[in-house]
Amino acid sequence: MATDTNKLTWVRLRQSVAKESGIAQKDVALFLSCMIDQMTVTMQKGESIRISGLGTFYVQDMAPRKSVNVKTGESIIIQGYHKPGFTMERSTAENMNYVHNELTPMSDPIRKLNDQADEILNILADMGQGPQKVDSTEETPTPTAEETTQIPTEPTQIPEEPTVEQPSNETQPAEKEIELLPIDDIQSPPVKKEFHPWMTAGITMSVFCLLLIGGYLFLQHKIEVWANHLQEKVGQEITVSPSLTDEISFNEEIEEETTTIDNLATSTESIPDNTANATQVSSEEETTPHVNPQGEYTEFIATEILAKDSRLAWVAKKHYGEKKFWVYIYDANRDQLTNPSVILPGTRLRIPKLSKEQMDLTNPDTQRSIKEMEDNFLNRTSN
Amino acid sequence: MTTKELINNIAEKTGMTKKQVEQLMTATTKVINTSLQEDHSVQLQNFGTLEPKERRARQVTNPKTGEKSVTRAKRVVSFRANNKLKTIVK
Repeated sequence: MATDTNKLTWVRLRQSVAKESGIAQKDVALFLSCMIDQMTVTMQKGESIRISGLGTFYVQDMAPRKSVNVKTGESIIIQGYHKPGFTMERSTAENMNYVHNELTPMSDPIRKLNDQADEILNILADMGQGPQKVDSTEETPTPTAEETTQIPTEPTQIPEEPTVEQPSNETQPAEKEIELLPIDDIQSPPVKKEFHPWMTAGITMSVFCLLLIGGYLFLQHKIEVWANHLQEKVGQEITVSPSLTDEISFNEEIEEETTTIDNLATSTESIPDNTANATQVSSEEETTPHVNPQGEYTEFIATEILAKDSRLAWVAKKHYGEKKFWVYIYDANRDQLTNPSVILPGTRLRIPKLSKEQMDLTNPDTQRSIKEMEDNFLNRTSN
Repeated sequence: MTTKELINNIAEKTGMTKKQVEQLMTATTKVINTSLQEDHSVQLQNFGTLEPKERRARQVTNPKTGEKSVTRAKRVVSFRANNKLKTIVK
């Protein structure tokens, strides 16, 4: 592509955009330069830009790696850097390959049909019979069985009369065009394409409805059970009995409804156990923060405002030079973050100052503590 | 950053209306797309070039089952960043 004479240069892009939109070239130039400015500014921040209808420009984080100087044989460390990248959108990918597909027929059976048709045409031309016979083949392009049976019997004639082949080539082009028409009809399957979205939409809609109904019933039941528990705790045992009977009748209704919601019914039956466990779990959660004594940080190096697509690990790498230390940042900012993998852009993170022991990755104790913290945080969120 | 935000920012900076900017945005994407489709690369000043490229069919193995299959040949768009952009992003 280096010698692309029809390359869409900056000037030609401006001209064609002006033509397309009907806006003066001056304004178009202003718009384009501003767009590029904005894009570079956002990429400088390390954010990605999604342009609908084209694709996404993003910044890739390249880790430092070891390499060898080819001339001297010395080992060098290539420092990490950020690399701009681009992925095309699905629509562009399809557009790009649409033309391509037409140029080379992709599906094998159709290509075979095409080849067979060509062969038959050759053979017929060799036999010295003109377009009258060709019409007969045109009528039967679809039943492949007939064609396949014809081929093995007749190709033997080709080697016998090799000299007659040349005139046959002259008659071919016009016949080929006629022959190709029905094949084109087979090639385009628009009916299938139209079918799929409706089918999938219908299925997803029905599944969604079922889920909604299930969720509603589940929630209602859970709230009832919860209310019962509260009442039991208070000690008002008399008021519990009517709600319990309600519950039983509720279960019966579910069983009567349909067989498809059987799973839901079983889940609702198992709820009382879960809620009983829930109280235990909550008590466990209260104890977990006290497990790590490192949760207290007094000195802070800096504050970082989270960008949109940022990760805790990236912030850790920026400040400490090591991704693993994200646990400390999370630990110091627990009041703002509830889940290490869910990050709200715009939150102010305080970056704690770490002691040498905490930064020492060669020490097995620190390694273990980091791993424990990581497990602890990730497990808690999974519950 | 999404297209919407980009449009808002540009409208703010240039003083054009949002509608106008949106119109220009769709026109640019259309022009770029058609050019790429016709196998011509697109140059974006101070940013980089978008190039159409051929990707050959190649044999791949499914790591789970160990099955071997052949991918289809296809065309992709590759982005080559300008040196200016590279140094800015670095």
